[in-house]
Order: sequence, then structure tokens, then C-alpha cells
Amino acid sequence: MLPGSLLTQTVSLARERSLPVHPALAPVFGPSPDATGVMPGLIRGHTVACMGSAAVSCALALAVAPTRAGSWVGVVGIPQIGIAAAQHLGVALERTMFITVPEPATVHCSQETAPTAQQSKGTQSSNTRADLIGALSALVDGVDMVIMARRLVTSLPSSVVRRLQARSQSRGTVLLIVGDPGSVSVDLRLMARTEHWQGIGVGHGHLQRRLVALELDGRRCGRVRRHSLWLPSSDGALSSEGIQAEASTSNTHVPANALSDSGVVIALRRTG
Amino acid sequence: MAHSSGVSAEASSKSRPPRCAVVHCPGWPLVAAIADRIGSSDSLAPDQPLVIFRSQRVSHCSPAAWRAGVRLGQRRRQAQGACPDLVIVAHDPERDARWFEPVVREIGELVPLIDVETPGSLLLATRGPSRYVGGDAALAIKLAQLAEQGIRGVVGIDDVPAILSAGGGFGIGIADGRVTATLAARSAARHGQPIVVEAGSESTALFLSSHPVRVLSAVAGCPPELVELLERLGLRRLGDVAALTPAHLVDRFGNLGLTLYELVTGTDDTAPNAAPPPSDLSMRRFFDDPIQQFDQLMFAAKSLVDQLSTYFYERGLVCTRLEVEGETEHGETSRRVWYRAEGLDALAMLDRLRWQLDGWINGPYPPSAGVTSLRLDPVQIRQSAGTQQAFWGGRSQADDDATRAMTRVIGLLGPQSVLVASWRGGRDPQQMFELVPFADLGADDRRVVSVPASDQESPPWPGSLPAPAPAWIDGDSEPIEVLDGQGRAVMVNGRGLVSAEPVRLVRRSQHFTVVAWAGPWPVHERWWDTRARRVARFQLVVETPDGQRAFLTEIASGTWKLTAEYA
Repeated sequence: MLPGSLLTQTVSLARERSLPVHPALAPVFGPSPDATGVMPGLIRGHTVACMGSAAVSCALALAVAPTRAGSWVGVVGIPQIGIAAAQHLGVALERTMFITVPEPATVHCSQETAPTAQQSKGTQSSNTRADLIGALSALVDGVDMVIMARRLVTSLPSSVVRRLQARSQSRGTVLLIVGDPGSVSVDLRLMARTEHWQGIGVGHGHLQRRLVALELDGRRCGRVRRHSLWLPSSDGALSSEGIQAEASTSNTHVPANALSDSGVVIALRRTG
Repeated sequence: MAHSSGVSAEASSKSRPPRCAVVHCPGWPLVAAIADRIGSSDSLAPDQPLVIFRSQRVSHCSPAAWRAGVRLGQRRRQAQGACPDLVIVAHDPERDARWFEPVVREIGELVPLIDVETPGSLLLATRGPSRYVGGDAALAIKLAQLAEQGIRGVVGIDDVPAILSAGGGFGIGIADGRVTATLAARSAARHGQPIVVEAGSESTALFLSSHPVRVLSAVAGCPPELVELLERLGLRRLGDVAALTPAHLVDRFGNLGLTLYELVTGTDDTAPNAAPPPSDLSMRRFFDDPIQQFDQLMFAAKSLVDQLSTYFYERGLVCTRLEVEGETEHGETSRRVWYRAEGLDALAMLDRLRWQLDGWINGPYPPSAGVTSLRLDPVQIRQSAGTQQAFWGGRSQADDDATRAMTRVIGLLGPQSVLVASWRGGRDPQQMFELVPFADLGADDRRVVSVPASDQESPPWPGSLPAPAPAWIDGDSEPIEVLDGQGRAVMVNGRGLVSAEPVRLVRRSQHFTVVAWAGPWPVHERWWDTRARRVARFQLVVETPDGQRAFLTEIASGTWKLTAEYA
């Protein structure tokens, strides 16, 4: 007979063990067809790698539903991330923080600098590294999703990454790695491949929407799941509307280019 | 009977707040900005229209700018539209604190213990000093003189009245209790002469009754939602609230109602449940090597603050008044008491420490030797009221956790490491949002963490790129080559015409075939200025082994750059 407190601790709702995902992503993160009544979502504590040519948008798309639902997201070491794109996709920027970290080069400094020269610099850089690891742990403790650059993750010693993962599991934080995680072990691999862009022709139109093929593969995933969606769709957000119809005609997407035949000089179009 | 009346008399005398004087300069940041530039090449005339910008809004505005039509809360463009020769200075609390230091120092000659609330506003107990100089009115005049002398000592004799008038001058208010005195000082600054409110509950209540309830959030740190609710209930003035019985207020607002009643009747001086702090809370650190550098000192201070705030956090306490003392090798000391009605969390403590130590070490009267010890003494603490978890909106547990994480990361990686997005607007995706350090938002703004204005609220930007925005923006644009069918570089002429169709893109000596492209979208910005920029932007879609990739590129004076990728 177990004591009551132990029993109550082990019970938690599936909803609480996962972070919500956007409806357009639900077919990928949904439960397997035989499990009924389980909400689709990202399992808390998992490490997910977003790869492929649409990896950044894909990571942002995963942050949409959690930030809308009140969770915080920390973006670490990706100063290049497009904030306007994040807003268009629907990320709640008031619950997003951007952490700049010391360059990986300086983190590695203690190994690279000659041991005789600049003893003080070596200690300083190991301080920096300890601070960085402390900051990452604090972040894992404080937010529900941490988006990290591949460069940052692979620059950390693997023992540190494992410690962070263990911490994220106990705290229920999802770690997202943007880019190929290399030797770091991840629970899910999400390959986002750009099928094609729409709205842009040869010398006319502009980028409007992109068809992205997702492929989810993971340890406890069973089979590989595939799904296509607009990321972004024509209103900037993500959606999976009309994909089936589109899929059949996708090969003929390149618009007939009348302009390129007519002449070399293309006239200026004013945009405001 | 006699016994019980004795008790009640004692209780009422105890509840009478002590008499305080507040010296308040409403436009202190303006004064500091002018004082800071005296003698430099870009010095400011005191009668020049001047505004302070904080979080991209006008937060302080000099009388000259006001006359020209600039108003608080305006954006840069509106303000410049109202007054073209406006001088804009960014908000800098450290600068404000540095220049306030001489004023505190001068008044400190008369009254040893001063509470500094923010740069530009200080409070002192008048019992001793008032008797010393001969009454409250005399003290008020003396304080005004001292404050002016403090500035005169550092900026030179001629300019002082003019500079001060740019910031609205010093208002001196003397009254029972902190809140009443602060309100008196604010009115005094408006009227240009000191205001002394007679001692006694009737005169205090009379003085308070005409003020709008809005002042509660500015002076006493009441949540703005409460003030809004009071206004919606039809209670527009403090007198209206004071006319209610405390029982009614407690009925409606709980504990907060009692605090509110005390505030509006002027009987509240300290926060409720103020407890004398345990004597062992004072924290002192000695440095074996005297510290000369401000940065080093702040680094040492950080761990002290961490320890102290963790102690309070774990016990559910909040420090509302903190004494900070630094001592140098030669025995020079800097001792200040800082007060914040909402409580000083770790970030607020660090802010205060930075203000004080920066003002001391880098100020006009720097110490002659390195700092050997630093002491933090929480003078007043109270129970943390906790935060009520909101049902709809409001602060949640996640917000608190995240704020704590941010504080911790700032402590480890420095104030520039944690950034939040703030909408700025612009033609290019990289200009649309700006990342501002969370630490610079100021402890008082942090409760509302960065709410960027959405696209819908703002007017459209002519010439901006159509949505969607690129998800990957290259900070320093990477040079690329865009070639036509004959292998020549594609050019855009002065009239915005493309020389040939782009066919290949060469990036890091890899060749890609362009399958679709759009543009040019020319931009000719700031042609009147040295920051002029004339570029033409293109969207290029190239074919790669793993699918299509779309880039945003620009060409300026014949050079192609890759600015962003629709990743």
C-alpha cells in the first residue's frame, strides 16, 4: 500500500505534461491514432531539434501556442532571429526574452589559449563559461521553452548538455535546438523542408507563402510522421488549409513568365 | 476608564505619522541632462526646448518645449513635429543620480539621515532640523537654499536658476507623513514656493482631500488598476475616498482597503506590518584590496544583493528601505537610505547601489582612495503581500518565474544580456523591432514587461516590404554576387531599372540558380542627412539540393549584400 502523498504525486493530467501546439502542427504532434483523448502537444522535458531549410520558422511556430497560453520562451544565442517574423507567426513577444551569450569562441578560450600566456584570461573565460551554464540553468528553471542555437549547444561540453537536459526534464521545460544537434541526444527530430515558395514569379510578385514538409522522427515516436503546412501562410501566420488540393498541383507552381521573354529591362515598381 | 483612555491616547499618538519634509524636483532628469553637458561641445542652453525620452515616449519636457506644444507621452516624431529644434536626450538614471549626489550631500550637512527615493526626490524627518533652524517655514527656505547650493557647487554660479527652472525648480513640502509631504512638494514645485501643511489630522485631511486619486499610484505605489477602479466607482478625489468608512473599504478591497484609508487620511506613513528588521540582517563585506573601479565595486555588490534578496524571498519579506554605506581606505564614507514603497527587489536594489556608487566614485567629489568596505542594511522590512494570481490576464506564476530567471541571468551575464523586443517601425524587417536590455527598463517599468505595439496600431510604413518577414536576419550583411545569364553582375541604375535578369547567386563561392525573383524595391532614405541610404531591395528564390531557399538581398552602389533569409 502506497502512502497517499505518493499516489497523488504520480498522477498528472496529460495536458499538464505537455505544452500546447498550434492546430496546424497538431497532426505531427498529435497522439498516435490508438490513444484516444490525449491532447496533442510537445511533451514537457523533451529536447527537440528543428532542422532543414525552414528550421528557424519551425522553431518559432512551435513557440506560438505556448506563449499565447501564458508560457515564457527564452531565445538564447540567436541574435539573428527575425522578431517581425515571430510576431507575424503569432508568438506573444511580451512573453519572449532574448538572451545574448558570450561568443562560443570565448567560451572555448580556456582550451585554446596557450597555458603559459595569459593565465588570467584563462580563468576569466572559465568564469564566463560557469556564468553561461548558470544562466542557462536559471533559464531552464524559469521558462517553459528554451530555443537555442546549434552553435551554442555544440560548443558546450556534453556533460553540461546532459545536465541541462536532466534539469529540463525535472522542471518540465522543452529545449528546442535550431539546426543539426550533432552528437547531442534529442528526443525528437523535426525536419522542416521548404517545398516551394508561392506568390513570387520571375521579376514580379513577392514572396507570399511557403509550403513546408515536416518530418518528425524520434525515440518514442514509432513511425516517422509526415505533414505539410503553410509556414508562413499568406497572412504571415501558419496554417494547413488547402494543402491537399495544393499537393496535387504543386508541380506546376512556377508561373508562366511573360516578362522575361518580353525584354531585358524590367520597369521600376513603386511600393509607397 | 483612565487606563483605557491612556491606551487609546497612546495608540493615536503612535499612529500619528512623523513630520517629514520632501524636496522634489519634477524635471530632475532635464536638470541633470543640462548639467551633464556644461562645458562640453554640445552644451545645452537652459531655455532650449529639451525633452527626455524613455521607452520611446516623452517622459519629461522642459517649459520651453511645453510652450512649443510638446506633451508627455508623445512619440519622437510627434514631438519633433511640434517643435523642430527640439533637443532629445535619452533617459539615463545613472546620470540623474550622479548629479543629484551634490544636492544630497549639501542637505546632508544639515540633516545627517536622508531617504533618497529617486534621483530628484528626497525625504527627511523634520523634528530636529526644524527646531534647529527655527520652525518649518524657515526649514523649507533653508532646504531650498541648500538644494540650489548643491547644484551651484558643481555647475558655476550664473546658470543655476535658469537650469533649475528648466526642470521646474525644487519644490519643498513639509507635512505629517510621507505621502502628504510628497504631495505638498509636488504642488510646491508647481507654485514655485514651499508649502507647509499645518500639523494635525484635520489640516492634513483638508490638504489631501482635493487631490485626484490618480496621485496614489505615483506617490504611494498603488496599483494602477485600483486607481482606475476608484475612478470608475465615482471616487475621483482623495476626499471622496476618505469620506467612506474604513469598514466599507475593507469590505470591498480587503487589506488593501485599510491601506487605502490610511493613505487618503494621511495616517499611513510606513507600509503596513512594518517590523523592525532582525539585527543580523545587516550585511557587510570588506575588501582586502581597496577597489578603485566602479565596475569592480558593482560586481562585489551584486553578490551581497543576491544574498540579501534571497534571504528576503525565502522568508516572504520585502525590504522597503535600505541603507547603503561604502567606506574608503581614508575613512571617507557614502551613506544613503533608499526607499521604495513597492519594496526593493534584487534589481531595484542593484539600481539604487549603482546610482549611489556611481554618483560617489564618478561624481563631482570622488573619494581619494579605494573602497574597502560595503554595507547593506535593510532598515525597514514588511511581509510580502504576495501576488494574487489573476484569473484573466494580470500576472501569473509563469511571469514571476520568468522575471526571476531574467534577474538571475542579468546577474550572471551582465545587464546587456537579457533583451526584450520593442516595436520601432521601419521599412526593413531588421528595423521593425528593437531589442532593448531588460535591465534598462528601470525597476519601475518592469511590472509591465515590454508590450510591443502591434502592426495594427501603427500607421503604415510607406515603402516597407510586404509580409511575411524573414525569420533570419544577418546582423552584418554578407557580401554576395548576383549574376545574369552572361555572368555579368546585375546592376540597378539611378532610375531604378535592372540591367538584366538575375540568374545566378554566388554566396561563399557556391553557385545557386535563381528560380524566382522580385524587385527592385528602391529606398532612398534620409537624403538630407549624413546617414543617407540609397539601396534597392530584391527577393531571390534559389534552388538548393535540400529545397528552395528565399533570400532578401540589397544592392547599394553596385555591391550586393544578403541581408536576410526567409528561413
